[in-house]
Amino acid sequence: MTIKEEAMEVLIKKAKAIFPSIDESTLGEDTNFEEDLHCKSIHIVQFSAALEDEFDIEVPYMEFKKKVTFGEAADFIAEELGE
Amino acid sequence: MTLIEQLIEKAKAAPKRVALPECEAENTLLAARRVLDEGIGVPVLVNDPALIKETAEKAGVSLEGMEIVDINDEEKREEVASRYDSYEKSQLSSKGSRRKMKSNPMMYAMILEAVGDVDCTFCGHTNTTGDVLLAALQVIGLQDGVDVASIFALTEIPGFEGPEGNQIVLADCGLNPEPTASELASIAIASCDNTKALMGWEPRCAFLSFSTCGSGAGESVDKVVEAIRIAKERRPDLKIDGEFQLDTAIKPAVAAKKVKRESDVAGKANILIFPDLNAANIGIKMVQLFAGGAGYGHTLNGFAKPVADSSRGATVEEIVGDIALVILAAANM
Repeated sequence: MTIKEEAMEVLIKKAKAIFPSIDESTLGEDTNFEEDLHCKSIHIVQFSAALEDEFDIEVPYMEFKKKVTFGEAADFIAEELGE
Repeated sequence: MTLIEQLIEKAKAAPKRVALPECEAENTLLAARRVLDEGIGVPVLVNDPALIKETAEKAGVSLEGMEIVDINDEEKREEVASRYDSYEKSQLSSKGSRRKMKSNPMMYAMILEAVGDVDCTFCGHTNTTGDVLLAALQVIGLQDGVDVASIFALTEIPGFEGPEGNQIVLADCGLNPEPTASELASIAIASCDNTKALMGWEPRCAFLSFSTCGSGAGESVDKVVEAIRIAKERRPDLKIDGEFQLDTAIKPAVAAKKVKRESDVAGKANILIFPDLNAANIGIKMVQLFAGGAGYGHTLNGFAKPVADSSRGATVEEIVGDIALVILAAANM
């Protein structure tokens, strides 16, 4: 499994934890934090904390919060880890 | 006596414990010395003792009487982390909080605040606003009924005769470019609570617009009206009203003419909530440039416990003022 795929798994798992009523089948690389999930800053913090725990890294928050979709966020983590 | 000097005197009446993690900065230690010597508060230096000693020597500051929390002390770190595990607003896992404490003195300081070992945290002199916000969101969490953090400016405007003399609070002056209605409501609620804590005023909060009570129409007016509804629903105890033009909010004669209903706020607002950051930024700069006013306020709005986000260019004098403000917030929150 690539880092991007692992990051996608973390994001989807976290989305289900934050928004329990969400239909998992609708979540994927195109999932938009703001438009699809109506994420507030506290939710973005929760996603970044989950990724930090999984990969044992520090996620630069100001860069991370600019990512619009799950795919962009997962790509960012992969880049941070040099993939 | 300037406004900040007045607030420093108020802070001395109830000195609190303030965590100072940015001990690599000489100004932090110079300010800490003044805070301790003048009885404004009790500084708690949170960092590597060797670094603190080195900075103190460079700055020519005596560390006598200063409390130091050694971030390298594993036993202490684990003891604090285990108490923090039950902090309900934490956004960090048990593993995450321990990792952060090891690598990030600012987060260690905020964790000390969350568990009650200190009353407030001063940072932002070496860390960026983004770093401070992230740490506070992850470690301290937002206060109930609030969606976003924000920053208010306590302004002092020569010649202005408003409901609180020449002082008035403006928000959000720094963090939310295009707040939603819910976020705007959060900004108002947090500004009311913070104003009461810092200034002791009874908050009277006006939502500003180009429209007064439906005199204008448009999406931005709709957003403000919805924000007022949300804010009143969340906090019926607060005096919140609008939408008002600026003159309606602060001038009793204009309010009497334009607001044909009972209002606790119209004509006597002491807190002004701008509809977005464009308006707020332009507003505060007009106050400064056209009216010679001054804006203070680096205590972040909306967090469950007080955190100061100072400026990287702050002088020792300004840092002492910022510490006094966050101590006052801690004393009255």
